[in-house]
Amino acid sequence: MYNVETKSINNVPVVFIHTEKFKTINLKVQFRSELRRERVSVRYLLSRMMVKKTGSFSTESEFLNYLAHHYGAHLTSNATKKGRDHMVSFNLEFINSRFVKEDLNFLETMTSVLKEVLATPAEYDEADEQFFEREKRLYKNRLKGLKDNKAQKSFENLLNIMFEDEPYKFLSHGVLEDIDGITLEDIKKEHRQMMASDEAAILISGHLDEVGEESLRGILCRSETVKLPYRGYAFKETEYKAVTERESVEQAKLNIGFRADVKTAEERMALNVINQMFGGSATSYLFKNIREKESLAYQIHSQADIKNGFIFVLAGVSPDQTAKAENAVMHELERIKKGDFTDEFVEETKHLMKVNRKEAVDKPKGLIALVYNQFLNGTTGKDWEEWMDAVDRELILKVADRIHADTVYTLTGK
Amino acid sequence: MKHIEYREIDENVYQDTLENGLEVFLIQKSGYNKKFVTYTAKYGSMDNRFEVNDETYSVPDGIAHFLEHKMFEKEDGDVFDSFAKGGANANAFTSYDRTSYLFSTTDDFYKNLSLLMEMVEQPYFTEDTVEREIGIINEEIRMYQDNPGYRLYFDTISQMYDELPVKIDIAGTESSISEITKDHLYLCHDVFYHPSNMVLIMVGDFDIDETFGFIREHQDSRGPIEPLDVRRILPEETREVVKRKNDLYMDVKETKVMLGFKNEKIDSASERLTRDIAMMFGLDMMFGEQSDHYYRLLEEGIIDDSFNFAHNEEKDFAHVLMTTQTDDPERFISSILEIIDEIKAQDFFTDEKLVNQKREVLGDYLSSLNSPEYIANQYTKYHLDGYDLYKLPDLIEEITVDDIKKYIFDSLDADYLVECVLRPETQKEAVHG
Repeated sequence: MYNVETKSINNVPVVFIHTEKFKTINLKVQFRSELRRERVSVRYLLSRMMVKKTGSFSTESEFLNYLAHHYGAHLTSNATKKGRDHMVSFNLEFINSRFVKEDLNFLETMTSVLKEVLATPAEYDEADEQFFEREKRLYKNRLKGLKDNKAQKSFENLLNIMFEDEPYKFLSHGVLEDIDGITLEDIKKEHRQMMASDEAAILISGHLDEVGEESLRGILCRSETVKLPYRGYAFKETEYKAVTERESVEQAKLNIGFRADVKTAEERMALNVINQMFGGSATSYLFKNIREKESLAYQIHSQADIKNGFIFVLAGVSPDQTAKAENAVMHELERIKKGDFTDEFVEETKHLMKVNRKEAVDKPKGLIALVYNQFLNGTTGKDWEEWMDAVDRELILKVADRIHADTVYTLTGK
Repeated sequence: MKHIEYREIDENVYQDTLENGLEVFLIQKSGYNKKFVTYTAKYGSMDNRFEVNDETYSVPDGIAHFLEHKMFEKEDGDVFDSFAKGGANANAFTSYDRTSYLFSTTDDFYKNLSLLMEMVEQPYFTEDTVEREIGIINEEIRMYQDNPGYRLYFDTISQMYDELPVKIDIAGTESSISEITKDHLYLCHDVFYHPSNMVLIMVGDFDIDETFGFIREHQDSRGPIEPLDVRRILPEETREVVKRKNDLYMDVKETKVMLGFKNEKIDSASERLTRDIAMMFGLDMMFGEQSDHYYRLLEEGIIDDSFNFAHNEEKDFAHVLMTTQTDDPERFISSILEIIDEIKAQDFFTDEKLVNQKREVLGDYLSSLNSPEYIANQYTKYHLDGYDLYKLPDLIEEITVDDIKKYIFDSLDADYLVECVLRPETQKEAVHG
């Protein structure tokens, strides 16, 4: 129950998502550029700095108190990767003014906050050096802390091996070793680049009766619309690699990366369905057979990047059973490749994926993400249904046959 | 059936207590695709000793969580499969004081609701299935052992509590769960899954009368179920801590520290809530990201943005935890204590600060009401604790600066402080040569 309307305001596409079920208005500015090593860390740091301090407030606590005063308006930044792209977004969530007795003119205030968030880095000068250095230090600590999480660390290790000379190995939160070399001038330069050359879009969801074009006009202005291609990486033939490392861990972490050659939207959807059947849900083969039946793992699941044709299996297994678990994972994939599944299971899986999609739009963030994805693909919800309907046994077998194990990475006990 | 309308927050609740004692709440959210249901037993990891009809029982640690896992397995297979076949996502979780089973779906609601009720109401345990589950849960316990945050938390809790089973991992230990038998499971199910000890909460867009009719019919079909006279036995716990300081070593690169301020439990539900909210406000004013202290600690490199703090207010215990990753845990601890002393000595908490706190919390609360999951889980928690989630704005309004002073000064008492430092293993080797 929502309506989508897209307008171009100041050469920036603005997507209005009208819905009455939420108590909040969610406003998102999305930037998109090519994923590159020299970009990820600088942009991550830049985006964190941007949501902490803006020109009108001399301190961060002053800024936060201002947002708190506006009923805890939440300003966050997010960095992700999608297809071949690096994405940075700025999100503001604030409550609908009908729940507030006083007249606070939320929307106008919030759009000017966002405008300033986007503009402030252009004015960073020596006075911001201390702030910059502190943010760098915090950023480094955060990444160092992540490395103490063995599951996270072993997944990163898998990516580093599997995508040795491909930019995909860079996580959206950046590279620890690159942080020290970043200067405030790099931050300013990356900001200029983002503001001028990235593809940008503004998305707003909620009860938008009073939201006119006028109130959104000031957020971002461009002299012409920037449109970048949206695609995944081309399929790459690779050699199978297996690496085992040892540390003191109670439970071994088994990570396996697969590549699949998928070209059409229907094939990508079939890969999506295969992933669900393989390890993407509680009824999947990995969960049922490796965890439940054989008690080989407490934790096991697979996740897919369908845009790029990658599937990753992540499992926590007993250190003395890593080889057995690895064979069991491969065996389950073989079963799918050989057609050892019922049509009923395929239909159930597809049904559950449709349910999940309907549920996703019950969250403001889920709704915005789905609409943004349609905006990028130039598609509608109807296309999605059609691709899903096209997935049958035949297509699953065709796509499953193109899935190849690329890398097995095991982190196990000493 | 009772209908309660909360105009100010635009929410509607329908409530009924059925003949067998089951309490049912329906929270109407117009326009939502998703229907989210939780079926909760007031039975958690702390309920390992109890008295039934004058006979005392002790059951192995971790059994509530074990039982939760086993409820999904029936003679004709795994109920997860049946939910998936019906287009629903199901799950369950166990906490200190409750076990919740849940599902969400956008279609075939009644079919899935029947499935949930039957699954929770009709146990099926065999020696074989119990044996296999031990393997799965052992892996779960081991997985947490590799998580530094989890280890730090549990060590801190163990330093604070002497007798109270809050110090026991919800999943139990490898040795405790190996003692679990099917007879233990049947016993705990009989005792704690009685309808009068359970609550069913549904959030979504429903045909209200039809839904209540459906549940009533199902519950009536179970026939009368004799309630047992159950008394939970909890050991006495004083405010004294067990071990003030502790060092923990793991294969990590970064040092982490956790502080715990132990408090006494409060018996009155309304006072408990007042303290909970007053503590949240007070701690946020002192250490939150909008406070000057936070930035000073950050600038001086004493904390980083992993710094976190929370007041935990439960029926049977209460404490404050603070944690950070830091190079200098001793300096962190002394800085926190200095700030507490400073605040006690000056007029730190003001109405001006409190107004902003209240507005922020109210905004967060309203945003959370977008989420059926949040509503179902929090409504259950507040209800079991004797309060109404939807009356929270009134309570927030009533909190005063004096409340905050009273509870903060009492809670942050260094006499009841424990310190746990998680250090890289390499440091241990360095110390011991």
